[in-house]
Amino acid sequence: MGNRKNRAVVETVAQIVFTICAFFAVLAVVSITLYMIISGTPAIMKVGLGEILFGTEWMPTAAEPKFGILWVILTSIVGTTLAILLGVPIGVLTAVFLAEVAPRPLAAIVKPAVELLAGIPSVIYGLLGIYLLNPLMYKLERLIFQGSTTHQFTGGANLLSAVIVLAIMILPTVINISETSIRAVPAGIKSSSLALGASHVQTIFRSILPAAKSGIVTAIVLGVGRAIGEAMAITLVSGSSVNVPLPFNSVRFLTTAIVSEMGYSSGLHRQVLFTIGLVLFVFIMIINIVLNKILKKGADDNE
Amino acid sequence: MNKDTLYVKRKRPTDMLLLAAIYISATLAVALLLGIILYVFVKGHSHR
Repeated sequence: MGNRKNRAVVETVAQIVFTICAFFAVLAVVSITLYMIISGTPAIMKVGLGEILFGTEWMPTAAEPKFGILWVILTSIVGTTLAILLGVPIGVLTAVFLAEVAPRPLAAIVKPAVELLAGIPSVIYGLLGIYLLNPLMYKLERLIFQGSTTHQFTGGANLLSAVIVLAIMILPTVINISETSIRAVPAGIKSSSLALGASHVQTIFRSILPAAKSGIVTAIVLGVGRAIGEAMAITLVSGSSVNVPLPFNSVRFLTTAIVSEMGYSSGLHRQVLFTIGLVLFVFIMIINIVLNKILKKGADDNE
Repeated sequence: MNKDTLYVKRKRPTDMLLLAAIYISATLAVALLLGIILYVFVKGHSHR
């Protein structure tokens, strides 16, 4: 009797604790959303949404300030897309190697190593970018634009450097999540494919990867989230000037725009930086909503 | 030798290509990791 009563008390306490935790999680999301909306909208009212989103001139401290962030938005979109195009195939194929191809002892060494890659702080990637990547890019830039009178040399701090650094940074996320989803594919799918006469490689690409699709999509979207929200590493390697997002142009991302100017900004300039934060926030929300739709559709298709 | 026999594995060029891509990607990812770790250790040590 007493035992049953104790169990009921534990159940009630656990329920209360879980409810409080869920409440705080929701409260955090709601308050951040509200804060971003409240801080980001005054500049939209003063400058105009069209002027901010589609303006191409960024001169916040001029006598007649301009707050156009079109190139900054495009840089974030182009940079993230290129990083995903570069990093995802390498990440997924490495995950396939770890889950399906590598001998167990080798996989046991490589997997912790890849996990270690996830723990490296982004500033380290930035430092490596400055010391290794930027000089290489500068050499390439000099080779390509030799004798050009119109090209503005960046010293290697350009969009291409930022894309490469971002692609490396998303690798651990893509590898780990893809590998987990590949390993979770039921063994029956693999053995059925092999029994029908498919080779190991055919089985991987025609049966296992399609079955692990939802996990791989999750990996890609988390990679996009990491790439679009990254600030420190790309501040160091991208050159941080507002330009058209071309490979050898020095560029500024949404995150780096906030990082590089928040320290000295005031008044309307600061409010516009909050608007940039709001734009970034909306971008990430859209990506998450699209992910959920894709995953839900995938789950429905599987059913 | 008869090409249709079940006892000889058929070699498909695309299989070889995809397997090569898997090995290259894995090598690249591991080389990147080791390169980063070694570079940070060597540079960090030389500046002590």
